[in-house]
Amino acid sequence: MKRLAKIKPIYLVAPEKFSFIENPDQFSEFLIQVHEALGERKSIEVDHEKVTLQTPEALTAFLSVLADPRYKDTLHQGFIPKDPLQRKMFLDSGLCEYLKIPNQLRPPSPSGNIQKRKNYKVSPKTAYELKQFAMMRLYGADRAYPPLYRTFIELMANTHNHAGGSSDNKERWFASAYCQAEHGKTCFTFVDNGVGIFKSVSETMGILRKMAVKLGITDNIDFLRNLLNGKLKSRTGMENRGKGIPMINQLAENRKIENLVVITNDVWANVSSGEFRRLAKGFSGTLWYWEVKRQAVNS
Amino acid sequence: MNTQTISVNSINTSDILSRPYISIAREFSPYTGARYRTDGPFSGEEFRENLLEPRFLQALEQGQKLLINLDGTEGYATSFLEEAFGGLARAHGVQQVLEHLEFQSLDEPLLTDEIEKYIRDTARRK
Repeated sequence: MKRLAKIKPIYLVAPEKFSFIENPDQFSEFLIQVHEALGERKSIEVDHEKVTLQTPEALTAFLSVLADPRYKDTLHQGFIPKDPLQRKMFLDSGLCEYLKIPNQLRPPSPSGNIQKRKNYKVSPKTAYELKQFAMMRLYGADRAYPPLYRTFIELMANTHNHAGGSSDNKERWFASAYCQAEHGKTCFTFVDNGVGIFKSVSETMGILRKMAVKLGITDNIDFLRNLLNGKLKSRTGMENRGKGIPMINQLAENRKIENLVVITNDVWANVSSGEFRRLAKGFSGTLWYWEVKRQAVNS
Repeated sequence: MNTQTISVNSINTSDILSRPYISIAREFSPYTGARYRTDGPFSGEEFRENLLEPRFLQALEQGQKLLINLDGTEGYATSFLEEAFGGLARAHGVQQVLEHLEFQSLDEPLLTDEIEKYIRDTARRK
């Protein structure tokens, strides 16, 4: 690390709107720059000073890159947002565990509004802890909420089984829960820096891709739509597999989870609102974001 | 197909004592996992091999239905349910499994239908 400290870091500027949901093209370009810089020079300096808006999924995605085992021998420094609100959220996010702040500003004690977890496998204990955190924050007591627990287990299994593509390496997932009690909701992010859904399908589930082509589905946006609504799976005859993503989609349709967003490879999709679009720069991984609102748990 | 799994609304203590019975939350885990043991702990495969199949065979021998209480867990992933119950149907046949399983799920009443679908779907894959 001492040797790295002597290397002049690559200077990167974080997008003012530090949001994968609201500013997907600039944010995905930023992540690509971070990956490239860490791969090239092993030392980066990221300037967040001008950030005026941050969203939890972007902070978690950035954190997952800095914490990626592929970059374990790299050095990260940063300048935190000047805006007081953004500064608080930034420091609270836990980024300072991975990003050295040169101005000696000590991160405050965590507010307790954010929980982060990471693993390679399916971890029922983690799914429970994140669910418990959300319920405690929303209600002041733990209570069962199977749709949330279920979503986590499905996503952990997907990353464990598919995110590495044809490689034998398992990808690590990163999950966060960010409670906004004042808005009566908790925001969840689940991200991996693997190969992404479409590349994974091409590499490990050739039959699914071939069937899609036969059905005239060559576009990734159409592919994702069909994957979400379960039509693709049922047409392949793979009845016992691939039920997890349609189940998550169904939970979103029934509003058990809300504002469901999927970002993978060249597709950005707000599944809940039905808005699907293409990412200009792409994202080599898969990110899921959703919210659980107090009233959904009550219903 | 006339055979149906039946969901029950209440379980008497005498039921539990007199016939093959599983409470997944109490006897396996309240925190169920995904499909295979290699995915992580408390998988559907682990549940089927360690608990479900032995009790199912016991029920067959006794000519009874195995009563499975689904309540008390944090929830179930599709892969867990499919591997456990679809897996049982792949090994012992759809009809036999449907005839000898009975479920209770007061927490999530629709789970019974979902499981039944997974069991029946195994026949469609032939």
